[in-house]
Amino acid sequence: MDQVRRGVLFTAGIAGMMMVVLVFALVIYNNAINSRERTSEVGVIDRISDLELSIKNSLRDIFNLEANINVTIDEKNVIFNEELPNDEDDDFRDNMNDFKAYLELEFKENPKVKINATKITDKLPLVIKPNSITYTHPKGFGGKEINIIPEEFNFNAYELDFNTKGQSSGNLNQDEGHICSSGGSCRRLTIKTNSNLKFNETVDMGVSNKFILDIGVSTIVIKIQNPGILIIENNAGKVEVKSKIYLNKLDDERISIGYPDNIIEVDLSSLNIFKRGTVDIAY
Amino acid sequence: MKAKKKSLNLHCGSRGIIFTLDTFIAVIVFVLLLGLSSYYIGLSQGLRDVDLQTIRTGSDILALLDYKNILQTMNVDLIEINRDNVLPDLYDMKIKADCKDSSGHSSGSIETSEEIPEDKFIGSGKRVFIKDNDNYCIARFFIWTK
Repeated sequence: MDQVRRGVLFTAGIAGMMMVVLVFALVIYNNAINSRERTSEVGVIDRISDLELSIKNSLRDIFNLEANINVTIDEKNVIFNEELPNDEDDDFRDNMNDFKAYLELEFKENPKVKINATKITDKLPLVIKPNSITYTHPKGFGGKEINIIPEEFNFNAYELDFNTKGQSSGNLNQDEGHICSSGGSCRRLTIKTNSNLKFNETVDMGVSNKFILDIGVSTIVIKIQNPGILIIENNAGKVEVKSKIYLNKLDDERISIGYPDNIIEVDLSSLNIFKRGTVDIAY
Repeated sequence: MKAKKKSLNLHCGSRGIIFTLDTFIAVIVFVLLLGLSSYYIGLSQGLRDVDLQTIRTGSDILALLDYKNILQTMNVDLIEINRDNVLPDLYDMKIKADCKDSSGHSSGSIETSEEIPEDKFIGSGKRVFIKDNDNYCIARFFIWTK
C-alpha cells in the first residue's frame, strides 16, 4: 500500500512540475507577444520622428534657399540681414505652398501630415528663443516694413546698418527721441549707413521714439515703442538692412531662431499619436 | 506453457500491467507538457524578430546620405558607394527615391539593385528631402540582416 501511495505521489509530483514549466512557458510567450507589440510601436514612433525631422530639414532648406534672409547667431547676438523690400517673397511663398501640397498629398493618413504654411508665408515671423523676440514683416513678407517685437526688455541693444545700394544717405533726424542714461528701459541704439556711424546713444525704449533717415529723395523711418518694439519703414528704394539684436542670454540657454509654434502637425491615429512642432532656422 | 503463465501471474499478479500503464501515461503527460512548453518558448524566440536596432541602422544611414547631399544627386552608383561605406557587414539595404516637381509630376526615381528577401524581417522607413529647390522627394529604405 505504501508503494502505491509513493507511486501516485511521484506521478502527481512530476505532473505538477511539468504544469509549472508549462505555466512559465505560457508567461514567457505572453510577455514576448506584449514585448513585440511595444517594440513595433516604438519602431513606428521612431519612423514618425524621422519623417518629422526630415520635413523640418526640408522646411529649413526652403527658407535658406528662397527667403533671401541671412540669419546668424553670434554667441549672445542675433543678426538678420535682409533686403527691404524683399523681392524673393513670391518664390518663397510658392515653394512653401507647393511643398505643403506635396506633403499633404503624400501623407494623407497614417501618418497624416499638415503644414500651417500661411503662418509662415504671410508675414514670415521668425522667433528668437528663449527670449521670445519676434522678427516679422507686419505689412506682409515682401513689404517695406520690418518689426522686431520683444515681449519685455530682455535685450541689451539694437544695431541697424543700412546698405543704401548706391542711394545717397543724408541726415538722421530725431523727430521724437528720448535719450537716457540709466533706467530699466534704457537701451543702446546704433544706426549706421554703409557701415558709417549715424547715431549711437542709449534711448528710453519704454516711450515712443522716431528717427528719420534721409535716403536719396525719400526716407527710412525708424520707430521705437514700448517695450522696445523696433519698427523700420523703408519709403526709399531698395536697401539692405542688417539688424543686430544684442540679447540678454537667459540662464545659458541655447539661442535659436525658428518659425512660430505649431507649424507641423503629424497625426498617427492608428496609435493615437498626435505631434505638433516647429522648425529651427538657425541655432 | 500454461504452467509458465500461471507462475508469472503468481509472481507479479496484475500490478505489472498497472505499473506499465502508469509509466506509459506518465511519460505521455511528461512529453506532452514538455513539448508544449518548448513550443511556446520557441514561439517567444520567434517573436523577437522585430529588431529596432536594424531599423535604426537603416534610418541613420539614410539620414547621413541626406545630410551629405548624396540622395539629392539621385545617382544610384554614388548612393550605393556611400551607403556601403557606412553599412555594417551584417546588413543588406535597399534604397528607393521618388521625386515630384512643383506641379506634382514625377521628376525622377531611382532604386538600388538589391532584392528584398521574403523570409526575413525587413526594417523600413522614409525621409523627405528637397532637390534643386523645387523638386520634392521621398526616399525609402529597406534593411535586413544577411
